[in-house]
Amino acid sequence: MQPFDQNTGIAPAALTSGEPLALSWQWPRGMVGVSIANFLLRILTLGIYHFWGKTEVRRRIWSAIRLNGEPLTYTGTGGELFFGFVIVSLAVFLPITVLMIGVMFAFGPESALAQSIPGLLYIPILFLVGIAIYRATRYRLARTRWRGIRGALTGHSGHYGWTFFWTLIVAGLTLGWAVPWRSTKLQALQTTNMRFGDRPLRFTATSGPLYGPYAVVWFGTLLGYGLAAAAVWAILGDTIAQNVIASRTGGDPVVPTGRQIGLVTLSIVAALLFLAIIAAWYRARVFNHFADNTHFENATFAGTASAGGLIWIAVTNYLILMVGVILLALPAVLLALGAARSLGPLAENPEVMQGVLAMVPLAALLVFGLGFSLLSPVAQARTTGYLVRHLAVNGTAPLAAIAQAAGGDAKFGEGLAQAFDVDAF
Amino acid sequence: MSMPSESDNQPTGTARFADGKTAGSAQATVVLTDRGIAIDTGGFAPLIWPYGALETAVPLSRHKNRDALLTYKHQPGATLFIEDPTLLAGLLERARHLSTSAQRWRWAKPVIAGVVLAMSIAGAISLSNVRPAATIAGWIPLETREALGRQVVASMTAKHKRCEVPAGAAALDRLVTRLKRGSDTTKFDVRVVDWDLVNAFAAPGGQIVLTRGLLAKAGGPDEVAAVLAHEMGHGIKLHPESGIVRSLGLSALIELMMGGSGGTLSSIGMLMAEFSYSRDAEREADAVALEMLKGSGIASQGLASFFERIEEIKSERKKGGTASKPSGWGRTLEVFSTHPMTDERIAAARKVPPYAATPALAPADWQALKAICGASEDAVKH
Repeated sequence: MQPFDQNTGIAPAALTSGEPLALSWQWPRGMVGVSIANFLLRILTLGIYHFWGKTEVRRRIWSAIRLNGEPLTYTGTGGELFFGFVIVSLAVFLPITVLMIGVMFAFGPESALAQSIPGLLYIPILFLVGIAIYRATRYRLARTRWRGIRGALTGHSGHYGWTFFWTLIVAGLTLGWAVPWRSTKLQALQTTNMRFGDRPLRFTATSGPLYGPYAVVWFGTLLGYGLAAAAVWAILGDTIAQNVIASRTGGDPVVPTGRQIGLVTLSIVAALLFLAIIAAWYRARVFNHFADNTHFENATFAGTASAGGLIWIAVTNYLILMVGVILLALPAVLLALGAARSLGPLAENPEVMQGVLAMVPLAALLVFGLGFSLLSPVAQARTTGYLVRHLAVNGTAPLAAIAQAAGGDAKFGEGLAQAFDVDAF
Repeated sequence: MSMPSESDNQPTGTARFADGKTAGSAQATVVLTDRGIAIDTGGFAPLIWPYGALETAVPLSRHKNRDALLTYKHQPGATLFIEDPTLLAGLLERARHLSTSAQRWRWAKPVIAGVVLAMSIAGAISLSNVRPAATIAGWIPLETREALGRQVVASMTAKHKRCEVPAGAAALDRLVTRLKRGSDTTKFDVRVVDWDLVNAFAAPGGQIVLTRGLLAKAGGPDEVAAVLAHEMGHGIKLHPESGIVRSLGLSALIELMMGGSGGTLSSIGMLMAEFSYSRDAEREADAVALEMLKGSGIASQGLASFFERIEEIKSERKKGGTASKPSGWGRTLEVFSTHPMTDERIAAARKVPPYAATPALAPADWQALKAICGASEDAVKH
């Protein structure tokens, strides 16, 4: 029998030769229960529990991702997310608010300067979005462990933010043709700075192979919109022309028939469906291409995502989220009917009724928004599950030789991402 | 190898142990002893992790756990991955704090406590006489308040010109001066705008706007004086300034609390706050107005009779269809905030014991004020 290493109790052979790696997904249990508990606690705490609820969801999703059968762990806390958000609110939103109020006081709300500030702010905010994405990734990796070894993202978020910003302008100037180049460049900036313990990930993708699929998307989008416009014109052209004549001669406007409206709706839905399909197809290609070119030690990832799979997940997730809306709408309607009955004779006063009715759309919006978020943990788990099940890792890594990196604990890094709503999970 | 004995119902099994220094791991024999979880990787004396300091990556379910990843507070980085059903079954009995409900309660408790504390503070402030918004409003220098008020007046009356027929302006001036006798020396800038709507409002910096519609519908100079005194009451109490401070502060706070996700909630909250605030403010402005009218020897009945007239106009408008009604929330707030209050306010105005009073304006001045916009054919064109 071989002697054991003094610290680890692991045979030294494992230190030199690599162990094979295998990635898998073990469906997390109890996500519906977590969804409901988090929802109730969020209501009870006026929304503040959001950060802790999100943390519990992440812990469960991370834990469902298995490398060699053992789970990833998420070690972030709700307090970190909460204080991160408070800090960002004070550092970013407070100055913006003060600036807006200051300009309003000094030059007046109708002045050109006050009117143009939201537009001017758009530029630094785009820059901040890039920074937010990078910092959020850094926070999550720093809070992700496997066998106790931390992940990390080195590099500067400012550099990423700047690249995010100027390549976006290039993408716009090239009518979108720089998009594959841009996403490859941004992905490379992230992946090459990723670490597991003291070992880096490597990224070898070029944007060339993405251009074929992207051309399909680009021309497909043009075609989709073109066909939709042509269809609308073929169905409604005469009606529009008659209305133009009617408005000039003072004649009666021509109302489109129900059949026409139905056909127009159908062609627009068909066009949007077509665009969604090619967009999903492209996204699957990008995911697989980036995965195939990501390496760790002697292992390489492999992506097998498909357009059909992505669409299936998106559609079923949407249906699941709508179940949340329905679940919340039922008690809300009962509550509203009860409240309406308690109005009693007041209900005969048309002014009171008008006031009550005016609140209905707002209440409906609230119910929809809250209901839609109710089952989002389930949807998140399904999305992550799909991606993990379509991501393989082939090869080996000398696990016992991968050491914990010194330092590297990001603190409160995610506030900005939360603020700009770029949170992927 | 020194293993604890398996007697006395101490579940034993195997698990994978990683020390957290490298990504390697080793098979370990694990025993759930009375003192804690004993981990033996073969080389040295077994580690003992007391149950109270254990943590899990995911809280344990009460029923069935497929596996559990344990960490120990005092050995950061080290992990124990348990799949053995015997060990899993025994673990939750010995470490109850690892259950889902225990963890959730541990997380939620401080958050709920914080929210309850914040709401109690907010409740205490609203019950006490401390008015943070009014206090902050008082700190804004007069020049700034006037500048802000000019902006508000300009934006609200953008489509309506200011009425400045000299005789009318002089009459208005006399009325303002007379009312100011009954109060302290706050500066006021009162104007009439050419607008059909029956309305009057106070903007920051003592700026008050009356509409031509209001002068036309008023039953006499005493009613106009009462409305004016009411708006001056808002100005003296800095209500417009407080309103701006309050809505800015509230929206910032709610935005902060909701993590940017509280758009709808924040607008509902702000409307509720403004709605309850405005009832207090109206009462306060009425009280100031009644003092002012008494101090300047104008009958306080004008306030009550103007309220009654507004009620009449409202019921007429209701019969007459949909002419110029505010829509949506404006309408709702009008219904909920002012409607049930009007009776109470009329009663408060009627309760004032009678005192010696003269008409607010001489008949000639009253006619001149009504013609301040010079619009109607019998008025003097400027």
